[in-house]
Amino acid sequence: MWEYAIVVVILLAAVAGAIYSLYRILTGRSKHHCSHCPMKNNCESNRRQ
Amino acid sequence: MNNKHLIVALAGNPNSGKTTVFNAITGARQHVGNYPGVTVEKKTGVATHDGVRLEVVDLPGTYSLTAYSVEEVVARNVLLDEKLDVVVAIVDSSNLERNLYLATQLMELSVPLVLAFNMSDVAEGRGYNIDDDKLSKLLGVPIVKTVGHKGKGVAELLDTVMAVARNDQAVASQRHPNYGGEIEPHIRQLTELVAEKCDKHRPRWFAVKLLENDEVTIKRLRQMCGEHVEELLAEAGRLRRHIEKICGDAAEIILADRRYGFISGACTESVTHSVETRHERSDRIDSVMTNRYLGLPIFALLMFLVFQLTFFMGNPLANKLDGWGGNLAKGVSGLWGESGADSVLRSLLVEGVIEGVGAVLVFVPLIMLLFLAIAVLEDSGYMARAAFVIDRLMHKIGLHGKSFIPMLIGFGCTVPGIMATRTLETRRDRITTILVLPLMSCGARLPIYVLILGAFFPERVFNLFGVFDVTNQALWLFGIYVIGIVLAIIWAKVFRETLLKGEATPFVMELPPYRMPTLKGLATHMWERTWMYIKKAGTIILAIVIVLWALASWPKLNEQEQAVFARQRAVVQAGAHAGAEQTAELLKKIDAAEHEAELEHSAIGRIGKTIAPALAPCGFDWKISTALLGAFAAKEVFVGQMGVIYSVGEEADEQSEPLREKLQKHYTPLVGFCIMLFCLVSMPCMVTVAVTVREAGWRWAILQVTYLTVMAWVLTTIVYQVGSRLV
Repeated sequence: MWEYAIVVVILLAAVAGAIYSLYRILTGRSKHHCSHCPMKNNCESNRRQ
Repeated sequence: MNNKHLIVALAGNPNSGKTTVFNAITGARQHVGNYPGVTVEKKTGVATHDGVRLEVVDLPGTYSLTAYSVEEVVARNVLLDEKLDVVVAIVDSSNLERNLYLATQLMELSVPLVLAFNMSDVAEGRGYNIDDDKLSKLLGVPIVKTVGHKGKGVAELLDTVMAVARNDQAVASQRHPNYGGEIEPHIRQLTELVAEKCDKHRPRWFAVKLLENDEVTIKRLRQMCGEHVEELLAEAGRLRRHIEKICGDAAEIILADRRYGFISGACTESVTHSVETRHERSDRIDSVMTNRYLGLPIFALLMFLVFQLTFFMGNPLANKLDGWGGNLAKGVSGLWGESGADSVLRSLLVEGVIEGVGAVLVFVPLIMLLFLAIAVLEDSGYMARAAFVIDRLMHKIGLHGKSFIPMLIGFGCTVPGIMATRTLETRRDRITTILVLPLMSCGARLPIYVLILGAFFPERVFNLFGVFDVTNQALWLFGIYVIGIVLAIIWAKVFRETLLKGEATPFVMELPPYRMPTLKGLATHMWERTWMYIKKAGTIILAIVIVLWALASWPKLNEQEQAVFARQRAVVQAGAHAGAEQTAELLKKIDAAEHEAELEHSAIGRIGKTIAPALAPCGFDWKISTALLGAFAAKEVFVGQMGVIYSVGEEADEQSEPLREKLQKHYTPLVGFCIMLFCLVSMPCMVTVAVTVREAGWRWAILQVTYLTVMAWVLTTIVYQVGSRLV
């Protein structure tokens, strides 16, 4: 039973994490792609943070 | 401007014929004196043209506007302090590139400018053919050809001077050299700070000078802005150190290089028969690299070598990582012992996390090598040449080669590629480039290609032209990238002929001189990008893979359905007629059937079965269909999802096979190729769509998703249907 409890917690965390990641991406807050960006040091979305 | 009185300054290199032009304009009406405090000759003269009195100042001859010599400082002070209506830069046409260096600095100074291409007769005599109209458009500055000692072109020069003096937009239409991705953001940052704290008229010029650590400018700023200057100096120092660290040279040298790059690009576009020697080494290399006939084949060859290197060195490392992943799965599985088969936590860790995220992480060596190769091409200055070579092709489709730069960035990741379209000046060019950008294969699609190539196109090495060994996998990969580029070019043409009609705008393609990349710069670029890949695997992909594992694991088969398989097993085990080997074989078949039934019964199976009919003509079953749907979140998810689908319900034991072998058993090479084609062309990932919405708007984002997905479906269906009839 305890295994199910751990799995449920991990699942909930994963769902929350996925939703949070999507939220950050869709609102331009994610910096995941900045390493390729020629304007990474001074872009508007970076400064907004 | 005073309608009756204009102040005009003549600037130019020593021996550019400045004095002859000055004499031709002013005749005998000259006055010679000294600039205050220095022994530099100050010559002024007066002329009248079309009823307007022209006061002409002959500035000291200088090669640039740095502060190395007293003449330069004097010339600069006059340009900054005096109220000049127009500056005429006298350019020796027979030594164009060196003379244009001063002109670009004048453009940066934001003064109303006219370029007098003097000694045009000498230039023609030496075989230079200067397309002054084109160059004028590229630089955003009017150009007049003159022959000073014959007075030729002087009247036209004065007409142009008056036109520029009357034109309020003359300065705004000038183009500045672009200092490139590493430096331009720093200049913008400093420009904003200068504008805020100190000078609103020429903030960019001051920012550039601060980065160059120009002492005379610092002194001037101290007088102009008092207490704020320390803040500016501290920020400039910080940014300068960053530039020097990344570029491996003093900031002023890098900036000068970029200016020459700007000039070199403009001249290569508008001057034929050039025998310039300033950038001799770079020019010699460029005569081959950007050659009309050799340029494209060299670009193709270099791209191929990048893939060859990626495969040749990366594949063995990826296989090793794959083996370690398998051992890790076995090790973790072993923690549960014999009773572990039914453990839900074991299943999550092994079949979800290790198989899913592991499938993405095994490609890290290939990703590192690809990004290293891209960094070498970027830092050496070749990427600018690649854009230049493609420029000719791009012109034919109504775009400028500059549009290809965001596309080249798109090979790493589409999202920053879309951001980089901000450097394009017209909205038409931006939208067209954004629409076709996802057709450039990004780094996230590489794991899909490598997985498929490894599974269906076993490595074969053969000798090319008796010179070097190549692998067929590198050739396939090269082919996929080329298909993307060709489709992008075709669609850009279609958009420019239909929805986004219009003339191509003039741009200067910067051609910075070739540089030896620094190890530190290469390592930084490669690691930043690789780290992004690893971080993505450990965050969003991990989260998605866990959710997908749950969707692939539940709902379970009900008791009746399970009982069917249990009965089958009991019958086989009870059958004394068969040998042990045959019994084991039959039990394995029953296990596989149960596994398949469980998957089909799960949530992911149901979703897959619903969408599979739409993708069946492309040769895809429900498993591939769901993985393609998952790839919308991030392209790498395709690999992770296949890893999960093909491991859920299986025990990680000695018999476990790598994902490639599982795929090999289930699909044909034709289906493998169709997967690569569909992933290349179909709708981009969610982040790309989000950025397209932000940068271009909803309408264009919907068009992008729709046309790409429809094209992917049509192309893949054609390839699969034709292919399956031929094979």
